[in-house]
Amino acid sequence: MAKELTLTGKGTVEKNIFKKLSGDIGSSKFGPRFLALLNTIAVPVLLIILWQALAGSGLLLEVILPSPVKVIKAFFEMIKDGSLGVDLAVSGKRVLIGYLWGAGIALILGVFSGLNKIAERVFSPIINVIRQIPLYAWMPIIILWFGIGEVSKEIIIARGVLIPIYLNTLQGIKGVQAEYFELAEVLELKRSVFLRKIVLPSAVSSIFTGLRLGAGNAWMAVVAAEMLGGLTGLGYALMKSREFLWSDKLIALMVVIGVIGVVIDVILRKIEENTLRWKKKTVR
Amino acid sequence: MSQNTILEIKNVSKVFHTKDKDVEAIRNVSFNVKEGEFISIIGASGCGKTTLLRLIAGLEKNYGGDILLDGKKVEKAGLDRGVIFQEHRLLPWLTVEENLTIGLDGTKKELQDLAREYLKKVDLENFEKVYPSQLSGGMAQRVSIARALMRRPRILLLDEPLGALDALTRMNMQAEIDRIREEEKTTMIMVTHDIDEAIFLGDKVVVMKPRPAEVDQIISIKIPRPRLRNSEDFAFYRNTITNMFNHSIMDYAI
Repeated sequence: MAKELTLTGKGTVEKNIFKKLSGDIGSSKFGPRFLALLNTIAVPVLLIILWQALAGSGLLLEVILPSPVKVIKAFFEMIKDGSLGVDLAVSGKRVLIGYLWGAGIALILGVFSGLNKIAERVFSPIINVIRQIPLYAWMPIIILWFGIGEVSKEIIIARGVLIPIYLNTLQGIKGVQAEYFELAEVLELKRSVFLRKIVLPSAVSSIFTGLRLGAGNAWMAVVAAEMLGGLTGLGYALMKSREFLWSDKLIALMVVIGVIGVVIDVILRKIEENTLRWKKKTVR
Repeated sequence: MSQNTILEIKNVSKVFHTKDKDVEAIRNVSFNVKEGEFISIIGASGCGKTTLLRLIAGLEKNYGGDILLDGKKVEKAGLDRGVIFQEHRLLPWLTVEENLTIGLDGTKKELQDLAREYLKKVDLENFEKVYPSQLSGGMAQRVSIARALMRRPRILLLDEPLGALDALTRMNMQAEIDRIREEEKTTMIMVTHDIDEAIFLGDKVVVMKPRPAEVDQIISIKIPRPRLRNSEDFAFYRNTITNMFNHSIMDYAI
């Protein structure tokens, strides 16, 4: 009994401290948005400081770990000599073509499978088997069949895009609530109206998840595909930097790849938000 | 006053087949509904009254007996029966206007006018372009009533339509439904577990016995409208029905 009492006492004290802390934060001159930003960037900033300290300490060879400043310089150098622009354009084009093919096929198959049991029984097992074989395991045979040209790379990207978009589209369409089927019965909705006004809108959110996952995969697949062959693109630039021991360029390229991936995701998210406007509006 | 019978329910029974047993939900229910009548069906939760309404709506199939709407056996759902569900069941991605006119034929102008006309009937003018999430529960349910009325059903089926609303909104909505009934003269059947609601709105109250659902009694409510909940007549009916339930409520109270 006594033990329990002490515990309670302690708890109260801790709570008070927490209150005091949050009170201090609340009354500080910084706005809550600034604090949120601080939360987000605290760890990255710490890592960069650590990185700079480690690189500057002389413990590591510069080839292994160039300083952040050198990486930034390498970045601007690549912009100046135009190599980054060329690589970006080439990779971007491949991603776009591969993505459009993969997404197109996945959407058609996904919608079809979602609406039709026979189609689902035909396509779902095939997609499932394709999914179990890693992207990297597909590359040798794709290169054997299609060479190391553009087509192979686009197929590799399309393969990376296909799975998440298919699965999420299928799930979205099959997830239409039973209540809405009843509503369609009661209102005697035609099948076309039911599809357009009920099935597709309720699947849109899930389809967008697929599209976003697919975009991430496409961006990863292009780098992987380019590392296998060819003389252009970000993946090739990475391999070349490694061979020439340009570690500053290597890291700069990695950062570029990461940032572009995030930008693509943000853009798709904005499009999604725009499409799902009705979700944002709530009771005032 | 002689009215035509619009709906005949004759010896209706319903059994649900589950994996390991058959559950009898409704047994030998019979009653008639005349044109313009308001029927309240009242019974304990889970007694099968909703199943009965869903049979009339055509949402449940394969039943015993006959449900005849204008002499024709009910086999599936259709526009001649409007259904108001417990939740409003509006599509969140469509505006109020789009929700109202979904699946209807006509020019854009015609449909807009129709939507406006019926929103006015449920006291929601100028809400055409609003999304359902911007409406309160009572407002959303009124839109769903408008959606059903717009299709000019022979009969309106209300499945505990006010069950999800707070007590005050609920009373307002009861008055609202009473007013719509008065103006539209639509035949309505409402399932509820609220005795006051059943008396306030019903020309007849069908009291159900649970498991399987059977008609216990049908009580004609002879109070002039609009009804006052604190009148002596109202109290009389309330007591009568409450007493009927006391027995079965005792059965439920473990």
